[in-house]
Amino acid sequence: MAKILVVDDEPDIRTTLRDALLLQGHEVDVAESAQAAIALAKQKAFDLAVIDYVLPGMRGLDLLRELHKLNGFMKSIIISGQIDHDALNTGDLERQLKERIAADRYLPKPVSGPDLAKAIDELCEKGGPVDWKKIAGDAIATQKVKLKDVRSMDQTLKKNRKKPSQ
Amino acid sequence: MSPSSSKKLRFQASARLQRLLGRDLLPDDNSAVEELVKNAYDSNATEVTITIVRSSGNNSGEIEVRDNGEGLSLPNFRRRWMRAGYSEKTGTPLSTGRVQVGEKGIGRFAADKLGKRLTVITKPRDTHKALQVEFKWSLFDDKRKLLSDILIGHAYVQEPLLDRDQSGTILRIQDLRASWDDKAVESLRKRLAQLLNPYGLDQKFKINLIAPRPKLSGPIVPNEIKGADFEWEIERSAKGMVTVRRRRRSSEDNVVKEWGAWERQPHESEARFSKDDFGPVSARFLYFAGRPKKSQVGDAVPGVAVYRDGLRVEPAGSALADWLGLVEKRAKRAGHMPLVPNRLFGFIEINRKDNPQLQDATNRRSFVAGPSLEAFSMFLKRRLGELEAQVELEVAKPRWEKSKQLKSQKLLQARNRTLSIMSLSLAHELRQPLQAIRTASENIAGYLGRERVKIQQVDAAVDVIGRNVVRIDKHIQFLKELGSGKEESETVNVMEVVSEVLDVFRQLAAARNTTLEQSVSKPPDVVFNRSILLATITNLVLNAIEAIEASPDQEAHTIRVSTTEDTNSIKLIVEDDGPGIPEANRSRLFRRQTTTKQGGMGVGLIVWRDAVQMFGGDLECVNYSKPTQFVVTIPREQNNGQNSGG
Repeated sequence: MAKILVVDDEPDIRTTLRDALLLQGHEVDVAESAQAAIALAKQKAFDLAVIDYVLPGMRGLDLLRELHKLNGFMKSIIISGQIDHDALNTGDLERQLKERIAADRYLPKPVSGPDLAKAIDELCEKGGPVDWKKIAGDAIATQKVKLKDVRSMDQTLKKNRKKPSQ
Repeated sequence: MSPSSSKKLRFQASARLQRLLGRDLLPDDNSAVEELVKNAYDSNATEVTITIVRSSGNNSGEIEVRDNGEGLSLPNFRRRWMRAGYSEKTGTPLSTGRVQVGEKGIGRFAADKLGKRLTVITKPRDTHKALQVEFKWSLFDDKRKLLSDILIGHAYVQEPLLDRDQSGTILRIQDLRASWDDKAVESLRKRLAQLLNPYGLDQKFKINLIAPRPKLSGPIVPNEIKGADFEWEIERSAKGMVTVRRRRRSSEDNVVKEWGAWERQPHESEARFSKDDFGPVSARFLYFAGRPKKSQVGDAVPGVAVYRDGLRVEPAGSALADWLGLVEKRAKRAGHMPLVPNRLFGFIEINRKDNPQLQDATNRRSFVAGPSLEAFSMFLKRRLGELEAQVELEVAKPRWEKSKQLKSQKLLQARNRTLSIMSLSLAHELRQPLQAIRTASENIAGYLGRERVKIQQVDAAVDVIGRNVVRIDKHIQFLKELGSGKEESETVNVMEVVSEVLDVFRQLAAARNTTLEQSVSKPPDVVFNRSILLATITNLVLNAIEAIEASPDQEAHTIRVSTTEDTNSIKLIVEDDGPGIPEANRSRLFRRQTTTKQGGMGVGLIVWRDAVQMFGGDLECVNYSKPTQFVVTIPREQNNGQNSGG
């Protein structure tokens, strides 16, 4: 059983996901906006957050960064209908890698119950530090990013590592 | 009972009458020269030479008008020149068969318009010396004097230009009132060219111009019209029988544009007007299917000109005169008249002898109004109507058809482009309800697997599925409608269309940190093409999202759709607070050929404006930035979707 925060502005998705996770035996809170999510995270230490990539007013990933400031141990799953498309472009991915705000998992909508359960189980069981290479790999695989983009991202990553002060 | 003569009244002409009839009556210098040329024509001259010497130093400038006409003896000069308003030009043909054109007996005063002094030297054939008479027009300015009080001196002189066996008249006008620069001379040249009918029968009258600049000197040659697409030759006999021959060039698509054979129209008798209204007429209409080139028409002024005995008559003189109502007709039909007035060149030839009723008004700018003029212009209007029918059938209609086809082709392309962009956006949008349906159905399975089934939970999940199926259906409906290309109008709830569009864009907009807002106003239903309205709003919102996406700032933005209404229309406003339309793009926002780049800002807007206009609406950009505002105007009254003209 995990303490899970669901953030999605679509009421039907929010409530159905909540019910699905309740059925799986988790403790679930829901938020309709980034602001509501931050307010909840201030009161409660969640094990995991399921966040819609597209939120009104604040991007899901920016919310994730804010939530990490409150709770560095929290795992995260980003769900999105846009994952195979332009919103998650290479520039975005690069930014995420640079700013280390990548989510632990990216799942495309419509995500199935079993897939979600599997991801939650893996993340909450495994714990430990984030596997950046895997995340990048996952993201790249889902996105069908071109090889040359991966190389340039890799170089950016290495450069940043060499100069940790920056 | 007869009153004694001392009790009778008589008119007396003030000396200033000269000025009224000359300088004041004539609108410009060119008209004055024209009058003098007409006088030469009337004196049976075959040639008139106008020499212009500009003023310089002590020389005050001189215009000389010299003709080889019959000249005047002193008794004739007394009678014919010195009596204002007197004219022997009665329409009786002269020995040359020519009929005199000046009938008012005032052309002589035209010289006053040009210069302060006039010397007339005139000599009939077989006399030794020429008669010389000098006029100083300032003498006539004395208000107290009568025209007959002004005494003019005369003398006999030996004029080297007029030998014993020669006759003619020389007018020397000095102390010129105008400077006669090259521009003025050129304008005079053009004006004189218009005096002559390039298609007239009487080519025995020549006009020469000798100007300070050799380039502007030489014989005046009337402009022949080359390369017209339609040519009509119309003859109306003295008995009112009308014959029309017409020919046209092979169609525009044909590379070799040659005249086709003459086609003869069946004879027709003008029943409505008696032959007494006006005499024989021969006319030629030349019409260009496209804009005529300078090389084809030279300085010829479009319009229908009337020539009487080979010399042009004003009304039909000035280019601006719309005496046949063509320009007015076109204006009234909002450009949908097949006959474009400035592509028409008409040359009407009449003669004085057979058309005595068609007289110049004293101001020489028109014919004297009356049944004769009415019948004459009605005759021409009818012929023009026939020409118009041919032009409509062979040029305008195919062109309208072509442009209509091109427009609908463009519309199809734009529709397809919109569809392909929208299918991507819809894919994301559809995943939202699919997510809800998937999880809800899985939840139902979960609920039913429990020992104690809570029916409310199942019901709630079924509701979610139902709601989201409806949502998906709406999106599918949107796509269907966007692609339908239905041409009919129907009753449309404008705000319903707006929310249909905005629903499709929610995800796309949210991903760009953009909120979509719809005003709560509920304008009345309109009759309009729903598919076109839907596509137009879609394109406007899409453009707004693209503009916001292109802006460097990461701030939140809003796209707002609202309406206002007045008695005639509903105005739908789509506005965004994005970066606005770059200065460079503003002028080409609605240009026909915009960039070929796919999806750029404003691409395709012209197509949607055309489409909206087809149904009586409009699309315009009313504000380029902060906020960027586009307005779709939708007419309120019933519109059956048929464009009035094509």
